[in-house]
Amino acid sequence: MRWAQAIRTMPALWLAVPVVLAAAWYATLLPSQDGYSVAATAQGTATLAFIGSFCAIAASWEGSRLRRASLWRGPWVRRSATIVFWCVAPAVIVGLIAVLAGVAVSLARSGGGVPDGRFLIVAALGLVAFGAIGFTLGVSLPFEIAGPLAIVGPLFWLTFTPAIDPVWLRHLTGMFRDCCLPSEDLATAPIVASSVVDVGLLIAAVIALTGAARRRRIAGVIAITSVAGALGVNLVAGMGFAPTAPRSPAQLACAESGELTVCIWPEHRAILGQLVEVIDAARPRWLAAGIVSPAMFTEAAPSVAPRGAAILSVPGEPVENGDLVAVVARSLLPAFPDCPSGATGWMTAEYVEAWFEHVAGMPDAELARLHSQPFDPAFPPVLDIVHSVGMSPPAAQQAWLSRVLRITQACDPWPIDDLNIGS
Amino acid sequence: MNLWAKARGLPAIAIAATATIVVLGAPISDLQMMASPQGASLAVSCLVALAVPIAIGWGFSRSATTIERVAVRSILILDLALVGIVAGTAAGLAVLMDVLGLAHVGAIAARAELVYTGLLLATRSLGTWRVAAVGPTVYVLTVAVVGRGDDLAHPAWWAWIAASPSDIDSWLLTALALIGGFTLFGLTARSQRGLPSE
Repeated sequence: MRWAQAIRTMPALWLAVPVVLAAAWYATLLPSQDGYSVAATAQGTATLAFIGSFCAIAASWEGSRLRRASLWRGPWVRRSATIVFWCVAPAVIVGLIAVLAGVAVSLARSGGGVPDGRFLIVAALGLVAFGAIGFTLGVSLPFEIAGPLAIVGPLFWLTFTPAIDPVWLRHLTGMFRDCCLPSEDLATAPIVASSVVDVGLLIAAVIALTGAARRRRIAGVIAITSVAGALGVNLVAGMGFAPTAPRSPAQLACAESGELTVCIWPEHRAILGQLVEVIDAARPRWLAAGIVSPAMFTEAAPSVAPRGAAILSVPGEPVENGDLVAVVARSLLPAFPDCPSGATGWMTAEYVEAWFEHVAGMPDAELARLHSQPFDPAFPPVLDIVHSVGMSPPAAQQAWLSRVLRITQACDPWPIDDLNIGS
Repeated sequence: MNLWAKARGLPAIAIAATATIVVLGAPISDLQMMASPQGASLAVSCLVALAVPIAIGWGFSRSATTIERVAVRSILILDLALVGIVAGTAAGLAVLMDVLGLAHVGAIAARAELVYTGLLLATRSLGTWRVAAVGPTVYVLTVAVVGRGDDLAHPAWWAWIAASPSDIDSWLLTALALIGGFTLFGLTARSQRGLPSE
């Protein structure tokens, strides 16, 4: 098929510009990422939510044209596979360009970087599967039914599946918008699982298009989708909602100052020097006040960080020194408790954090800005507690800190009076 | 009359309406969702509600336009009555099931189905029956992708099919969409009566 003819007759090409613009616009509605190109690429592929439907209905239209004109499975010189390819390829190519536009905008908004090819390959595979299914619907059903089904099918798959429990089902869709925090990378299992499912759908579409008896085709479609689904489920079952694995610590940018080592992700490198200064100034004060402060601060995920290191979570946007003190103080807090029905004690972590900041030398005005109100009005004001602890003898301070740190891990109710220094 | 009913695929439309009601009453429309219990059940009901408009679009696309344009009987009245009765009955049953506690997303599905019917007729007025059902389907897609407002319970004003069933404005907009669809379809079909050369 000549391109001029394709442009004249194919809705996929008529709609190419609006779809690409829509994808670029949609990417501006999503939260911008932290300069981390993996997360930005993942965010950009969220456009699949409607590009999948576009590919399917555009291919369905082409299939329906062959069906209406009774041209499908005619005695043509060209092979059926070639005919299908030229019907589906324009929709898939336009879809892929639209996904790339979304990814480009997402990357540009997050501060640049190179798109992560893994997401693009999975997205391309998904679009091919949607296109093939759409074409199959088009040649199998009247367009009045095939068209709406081609839109609803991918929409249902891509937007409804992520809302279903178990949460790992979403990893089969190939839309990984829950990836990734700076300390995370895309895991291999979801890539393989979604690829297996997409290939399964593609083979099912091919089986449906063959000239075999209807009963055999239906049996083949059911068998292949079941096998692909089971394989995919087997790969991702038990994962959390995010399709992630810890990011390799080898990517960390580190700086040393005396015995202190601070490692953060490359996208936060601009504040590394400032961070080292803040920790260098605060750490001796913390050690003097009996606050455990390790010599290693890192942004690596806890599971891959060196044992005993403080785990930093650095914000992407430019920060002032006061905010950095808070970031470092938070890294000294214990891990969030694993409670079956809510951590009742974790709200006291704010008091501990404020105490760490106070000891680090944070002015009262800054403390008031960060901790203006406790979570619950029944709790005493954070600054009042911090001041009363600050005016107590070191032994009492230590006792208070040990007690409140214990409370942070509580899963059951505990007496609010325990927050006071004299309790 | 029998020929008209046969041409319109009346049994298929009736099956679609019945299936909609059955699915709304089935446990799947009340799935236990994790992050967005309201959103997921709402999505099911909005998608299920597409069945009747799609069936109507398919049935009506089988019409013999040239003959019907010069028919003695007013096919337009029959068509409008059929759409009204099918959409109204399916929506009414869905609401009734909701009231009786048999389908807790029944009212949402009923509202969505009425909106889709209006959009189906409006899209038909602009094109052909072949593509008429694409109109409401694209609307659902748009609502799902960019229809979010302040939060899950408050969608954008134009995505009112996703609003709470107690939202009066959403029912007013539904009535507007339905009346608008019927009016557009009626006017277009009337202007197309007679032979093309007349």
